Formats: sequence, structure tokens, C-alpha cells
Amino acid sequence: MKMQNDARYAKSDEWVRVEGGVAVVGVSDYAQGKLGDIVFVGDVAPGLMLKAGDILTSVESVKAASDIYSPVSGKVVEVNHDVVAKPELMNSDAFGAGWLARIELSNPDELNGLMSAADYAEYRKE
Amino acid sequence: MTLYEKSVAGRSAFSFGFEEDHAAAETCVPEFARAAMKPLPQVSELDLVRHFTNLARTNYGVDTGFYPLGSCTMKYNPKINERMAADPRLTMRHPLDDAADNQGVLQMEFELKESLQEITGMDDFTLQPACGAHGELTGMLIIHAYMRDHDAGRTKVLIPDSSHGTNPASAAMAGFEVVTVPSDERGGVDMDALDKLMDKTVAAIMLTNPNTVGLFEENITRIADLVHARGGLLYYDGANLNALMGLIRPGDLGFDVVHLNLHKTFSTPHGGGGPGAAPVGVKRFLADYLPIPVVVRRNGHYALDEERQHTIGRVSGFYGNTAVLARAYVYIRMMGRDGLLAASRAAVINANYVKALLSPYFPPAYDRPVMHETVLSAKGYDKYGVTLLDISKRLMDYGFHPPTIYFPHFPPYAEEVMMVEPTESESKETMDAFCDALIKISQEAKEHPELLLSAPHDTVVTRVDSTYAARHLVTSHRDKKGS
Amino acid sequence: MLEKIGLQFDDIVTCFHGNSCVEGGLALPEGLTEDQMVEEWDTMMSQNSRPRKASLLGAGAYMHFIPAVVPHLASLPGFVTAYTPYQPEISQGTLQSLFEFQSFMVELTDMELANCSMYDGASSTAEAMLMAHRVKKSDRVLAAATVSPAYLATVRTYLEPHGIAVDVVRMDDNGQLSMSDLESQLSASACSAVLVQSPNYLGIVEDLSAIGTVVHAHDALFVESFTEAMALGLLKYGVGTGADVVVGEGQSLGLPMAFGGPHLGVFATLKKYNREFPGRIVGESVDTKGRPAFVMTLRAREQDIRREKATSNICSNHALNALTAAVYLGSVGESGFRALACENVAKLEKLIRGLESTGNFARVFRQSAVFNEAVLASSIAPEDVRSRLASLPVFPPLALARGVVPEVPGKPHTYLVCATEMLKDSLLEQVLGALS
Repeated sequence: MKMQNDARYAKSDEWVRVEGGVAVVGVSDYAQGKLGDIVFVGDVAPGLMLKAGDILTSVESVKAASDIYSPVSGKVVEVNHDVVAKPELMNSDAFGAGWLARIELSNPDELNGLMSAADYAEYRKE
Repeated sequence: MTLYEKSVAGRSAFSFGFEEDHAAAETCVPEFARAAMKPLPQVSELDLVRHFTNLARTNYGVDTGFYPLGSCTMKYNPKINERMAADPRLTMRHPLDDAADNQGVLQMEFELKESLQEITGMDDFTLQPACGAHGELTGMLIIHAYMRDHDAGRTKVLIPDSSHGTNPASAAMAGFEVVTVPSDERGGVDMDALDKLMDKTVAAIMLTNPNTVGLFEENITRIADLVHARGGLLYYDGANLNALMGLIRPGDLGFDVVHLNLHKTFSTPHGGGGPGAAPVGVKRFLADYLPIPVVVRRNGHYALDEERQHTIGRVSGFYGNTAVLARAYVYIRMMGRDGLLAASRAAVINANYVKALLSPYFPPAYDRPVMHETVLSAKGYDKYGVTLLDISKRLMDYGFHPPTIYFPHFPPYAEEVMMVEPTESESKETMDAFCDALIKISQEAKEHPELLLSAPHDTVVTRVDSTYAARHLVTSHRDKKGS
Repeated sequence: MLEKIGLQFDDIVTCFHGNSCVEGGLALPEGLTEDQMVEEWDTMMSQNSRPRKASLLGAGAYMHFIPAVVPHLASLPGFVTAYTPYQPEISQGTLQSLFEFQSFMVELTDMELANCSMYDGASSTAEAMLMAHRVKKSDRVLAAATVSPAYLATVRTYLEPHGIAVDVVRMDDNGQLSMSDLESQLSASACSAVLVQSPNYLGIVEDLSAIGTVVHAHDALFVESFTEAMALGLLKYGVGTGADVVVGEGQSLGLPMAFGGPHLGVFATLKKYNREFPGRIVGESVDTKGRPAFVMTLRAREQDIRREKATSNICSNHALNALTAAVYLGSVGESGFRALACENVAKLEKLIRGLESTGNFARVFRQSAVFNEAVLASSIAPEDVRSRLASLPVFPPLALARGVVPEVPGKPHTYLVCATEMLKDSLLEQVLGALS
């Protein structure tokens, strides 16, 4: 299972890392493997205000559909249009080019409530 | 190649004695008329016949071979049904013509209604819904309307985690919030969970019985008592009625609303995905909510009754899929009282037989006798690098349609399960051949997994790339390059 | 086999214990042999009145000519006894036929994608309104008063539990949608969709382009519907008229009336709604050897994956009827379909002229273009029309209730009169003779 060690993880398989004061959010490699070939990533409205646990977007594979929950609260300041146009990026590079959105954190303490990479690896160990 | 690709300008398969001047017609609605006829095929009748005849040959059907599809009840489609349903005295009737001129058709529908009432133990039926999901929607709309009138505030519907996807989809379409009820370790509804969830915000519970795991709901009487005592109603998804005909009736078990799948239990053909028919039965207190019109008999005459005080309205343009109803009518009439019972008995025995043969290789999900279908696990084959999908694709090389796979979709068998429903139509020889094939494949999985991974080999196309289809959407000839 | 199972039947069904089982068998008659069934069916069906060659009755179900090749191909067991094509490797017959149907629907409706069928025109229309609500979110829709009453009733039934209001836009003096009432209703408050049927219930062709422009100015979805698919051969629908969805009834495409069903729901829309539309759709792809192959696609919208969040609960549709329509369109072909549409228009015109010249009938909406149905006022009452036509092989026209259309002096009874290519001149003359 591919991991990103500097990221924090939600139980619902989203990851978040902070870059330059802004949170970058995506879906874990484990989750993309479970979903299968992603064929659709829903667009996100920029400026969207979210609380942790709100639905950020939804993704579809040929055999499944999944809501993606924001692991943090804040405002969406940027959306990755590349992954919306090419959903396969989420499969090939879930932690990199497959990122979903940049969120301006309203409550950075929330990060402490998320799992570390090691804890997530344990949680998702098969 | 599609018909478009076979078209040659100027060719036609049509022969008709036109009598009128078309030039005038072309110009009579000038401002709205389409400029030119958009492309339709231009082929000869022979080309048309060869095109579709060859397409039909690439299709597997019940007439070709066995379908062990759980919860689909792919039983034989008797040809006498087809002959009766094609009777021009039925097909050439206009639905809006006077009822007095349609007594034959209306009699057929009324007698079908009465038979279904007797088989299910319900008091009245609508024949309007076109397919199972449509029947579910109709039944749930009836419940929604009833609750709106009698006990507003009941916004939820309880649905087991093992349910067919149409159940929650239909409940949502009928305006309800869906709440999932977990199953217990014996495969039935978890009674403790039900006890906590069933309250005055719940309008109904939707159940399939036997459930999608092929097991009879042991606690059905307790469930019915509990739900009714707390003001809720019971909805019966009749997809699995093939296990029960002549043995037990959903109406007697306490169900208030029932839908049936005529294209499952009652032998009407599947047609590659419809048309079917899904009559919905109700207990008397809900009869006024049925969609109109309802077929009735008064003073020896048959009529279409529109006087249902609290009708939910209409769910279709006319009265239901008459030509499909006719097939079910003939089936029931020819099977009769004893035939229907024999069918269910055989369906149950056959499923248990297949389970007994396959259990050593594909352990059953639950250690109980099953009803008309059995759920078997393929967990453990992944250590050879094969999935249940690979196993099912390899079955096609042996001449069988795969069983239902990856359903039901709930713990503890969330992934690698298959549902096998032989139906009463299949002989011991066919079932033995099917089980032999699966057993051989289980050996191949260990010794020659590559045979499974590249299966099927002997079909007109090999595995189709669904990802490519979804990422490069081509759903019409217009989408194809160059057209 | 019981030996292999190791149980007796009664042991298997111990789970029934404690529940009321059927005692003494179902109260149904004994079964019949095939010859007995044929006999009994014959007696029953002879209770219907005599067969007809043509129908002056339309109103949502139409008698058209069905070429022999159509039922022949549609009844091939490979198509009839096949299951839903979840295993594409052994279902290319069904999948390709449905792809071809989708292609024909895209062409005839002039839209961008079409699903592989729904149950009928009425339920397709209701589903279109639900889709519009998902997209636009406003709890209100508008529907023309001239939409078929059965379709409007179905729309109301489907929308009621979601608290979506269905407001009706009035008819004008020409029997068309009133543009002024449309404007005022759209301006009154937001709505998700406007539903207009053309030809409408009274047989009149609506000005879809003009309506589409107004609808889009108010940010609602424009839903066009039809009950007579043959009109697609002559009239303009779809993208060119501003449609977001085109829905309707495909029964005229090679399917018998069959006392109301099974018919054929058509649903076509724009690519931008490809995540929102209901129903199954077939796509083209490739197999492992790179050969073209068809497969069901965009499945994540559907009930088995999305469950309560699905775009619709629809599972099985009317696939075999879609296949039948594809065969029919392949049979009549490009020139045939247009010619049939023209023949329908011309036949109705001839019938109406003939009826008017008897002095007993008059067109109610003189200014309005019609396709193959029109409203006529008459001095002859419905029971009298029926008895005059009783000896002819035609279904009599629908008698409309009083007040549905404007009154014509001296002719208090109104009828929706239909004529198709089945009304041959010799029979048409006999009809005129009977109604003079």
C-alpha cells in the first residue's frame, strides 16, 4: 500500500497535508485501489465553505460511486481541474497529481484528530 | 458493423402502398418541419434480416443454456405463452376503446388479478407497474400517501443491508429517507437493531422473503408484530416468490403491500432487459390508494374502475403491460394449483442440491438449508491470483452463463460471493454439468490460473474494457469518429 | 437428489414453522394442457368485439402498419429469452441492438444522447421532470395544459412526495400553449422545468423554438414530449429548438397497441446531463483483442451501485421493445419513415375535408397545424357516431368532454379524430358515408 508519510488521514480514506499554510486534500492510494478505474471526478465549486465531514465531491469508477468527505473545515480556494478532466490521475498518482482541492483551514487543530500515516497503514492493513 | 455502416444510399426494405400526395404534406407545417430526414438506415430486407439474425446468434438466452442467476429466476419461457400473447384479438385492441368491446382482455386481466390475490394472500391488485422497480415505487407511493393521511411524520423506511439496490432507490424516489437495518449472524434481520430503529418516524420496512441470501426470514412473525405494533407497514419485495408458491403466502405473514415480478416467478421472458410486469397487491385498507384505473367485475361485466377515493394517481399511460400479463395468465392457468406448488418445491430442492454439490469447493455463506437460491463464497481463491470475476468469466467457456456475483453486498461476505438459483426448470443432468464445470474451474484456479484470467476465450468478443467505455463515451453512431 | 442433500423437503422448510402455511393447496383451478388452454383462451378472447383495420382513435396509442419482418426478428429466441446484458461477452446481440436504438433516437429527437429505453412515454416524462429538479433544485415545474392528461397525472404522482408543485400553463385560442401565460408564470417564481408536448393532446403542433427561447431566458430546463413517435419523421425537436430533454412514447415504431402495453419510453438529453439522466445506456468499447464491443456504461448512476442516491430506481426497462423499434426503423428506413409521416398528415387532411363537407363536422382550431390528430366539432352525438361506425372495421374517435375546447355553434360534441396510413381510401370513403 502506497503511503504518504507527511499526510494525515481520515477514517473515510481521505488524506490531507499542509503546504504553505493551505491544506491539500485527496483520496488515498488504498481507496483508489478499492474503487477501481476512476472514470469521473465531480467538479467542486471554488469558494465552497466546508465543515470537516461534509461532502467535498463524488467520484465514480465503473463499478462503484463514492462520496469524498472533506477531512478538514475551511474554504475551498483551488480545485484540481486536471483530475476532473483526467480522472485516471487519481489511480496513477493518488497522493500527487491526483489531488482534489486546496482548502484554507479554519481550524488547524482538526489535523490532530486525524490519523498519522502509521496509524492509517495499520487501520487499512488487510 | 452497425446498420448505418451497412447502409447504401437508396436501398430500402420497405414496401407500402402510399395513396397520398406527400409534397403537400412536406410543406404544410413549414416553420416547424425538420429540414431533411436525419440519417436512418438504408438497407434491404435481406441485409436487415441477416444483421439481426446474426446478432441474435451472439446472444446467450434461456433457450440456449442454463442461467444460474440468483434472484433472477431465469426459468423456461413456455412457447404457448408467446402464441397467446401474440393473438391479434389482444394486440390489436386500442386501450381507450369502450370496455364493453374489450370484455375478453379485461376478463383475462381480472382473472389474473384474482389468481395473484390467491397466490399471495392479498386483497386487491394493480396491474399497472411495468417492472419490479416500478412496482416498488408504486407500493412505496401508496405507503407514502397513506402515512400522509393517517400518521404524518413517518419519513423513514427501514431496508436490510442485504437488499436489492432498487429497494432504497425506490424508497427515495417515493420521498422517504432510507435507514439500513443490519443482518444478524444467521443471515436474517437483526432483531435488536430493528427494535432500536423501529419508532414513530418509520413508515415501513421493505423485506424480501426469502431474502437475497436465499434464506427464509425466521423471525418474520416477530418482525411483522413489532412493526405493526409501532404503527408501521410491511412491504414485500416479491423477487423471490418462486420459493413459496402454494407453501406460504406473504399476505398471511403480515405484509401490507406486495409486488410481484412476472418476468421472474411467472415465466414471462426477460427480453434482454424487459419488458416485464410487476403487479402490486395490497390489503383492503389500502385498496383506495391504488393507481387508477383498476380492473373490476360488476354484475358479470368487466370494467376499468377510476373511483378510488385516495388514489395515488397514475404510474403509466394506460393500464399496464397487457401482453406480458397475458403470458403470466397462461402460465398460471396451465400450471394450476398443483403445478405452482410443484414448481416451488422443485426450486427449493434444486437450490439445496446445487449447494450440496458445490459446498466443498465454495463454502455456503450460511450453514442452514436454503430456499430457492444459495450464496456461496469464493474467498480463498485470491491466493491463486484469481477473483470471482475470473471464475465467472471462465464459466462461459464451459457454455454456462455466470451466476450473480458480488451481490449481496454486505458483511461478512462483502466481496467474493456468488448467488446461484437453478429454478425448477433445470434437470439434474444440467445442474450436475454446471457443478462439474465450476469444480473443474476451481481446480484450474490452482493449476492453470492463466486460463481464468484470460477467460472467456470461446465467445464472439473477449472481456470488454468498461473503463475505456466510460472514459471515452460513445453511445450513438453520431459519437463515433467520422459520422 | 434429496439423498445428496441429506434432508427431506419438510426438513428444509422447518423455517416455515410457526407461520401460517397454505392449508389444502391454493384455491386455484387445476392446470390445463396446451390444447385445453388454447380452447379456453379462444372462448375468452371471442368476447372482444370484431377486429379493426384502422383507428380513428389515437390519444396516445396509434395503429400503424407493422412490416412482417419486425415481429419475425423481434421474436428470435436469442433476443427474447436473453437476460440483461451484464455479461457483455455473451450479450453482444442485445447490446448492439440497443446501441443502434440509441443511435436512431439521437437522430430522430436531434439530441446528444439517448438511453436504451424506459417503460413508456408517461413515466419517461415524469422521470425527466425529476431530473430537472435534481439539476435546477427549484420545487416547482410548469406543464402545458395541452399535455396528455395521463402524462400529467403520472408527472403529478411522481412529483407529489417530493413536494414539487406542478403548475399548469393555459392554452390559447388556437389550442396551443399560451405564450403570455408562459411568460407570466415563469416570471412569477423560479421553476426547474417547463414541459410541452408536441403534437399536443389536441393534435396541434406547438412552436417549440419560440417556447425554448422563453424557457431558457428564465433558467429552467425545457422538456419536450411526444405521444406519437411518427411525428419525429417530419417535425423539428431537440437541440435546434432549445430542448434539454426530449421524452415520449415509441409505440408507433413497430409495436402493437396491445390494449396499452408494453410500449416504449424514449429518453434523450444533452451530454452535459450525462451524470443526471435515468436509465441504462450502452456504450461502444473494445475487447482484449482490440475488437469493437458494446457494454453497458455510466453504471454508477444506477440503483445497484448508488442505491438511494441513484438517478432513478429503474432496473429492467423495455429492452426488447427498443430492439423492435430498431428493427422497425431499419425496415422502413430513411425514406420510408419520412414518407409514412407525410402519409399520416395527408390522410388526416383528406379525412377532415371529407367530414367537413358532410356538413356535420367542423375543425375547431382552424389556424393550427396538426400532424395525424385534430379536434372536430360535430352535431352528431357520441353514441350515434359509434352506432354509425359499428359495421365498419375502425375504432371510433375519442369523444372529448364538454368545455375542453371552445364551442362551435350548432356542433356541441367534440372529438379527437386520428388518421394514420392504415386508413386506406376505400375505408375512408365508407367512414365518410357512415357519418354523412
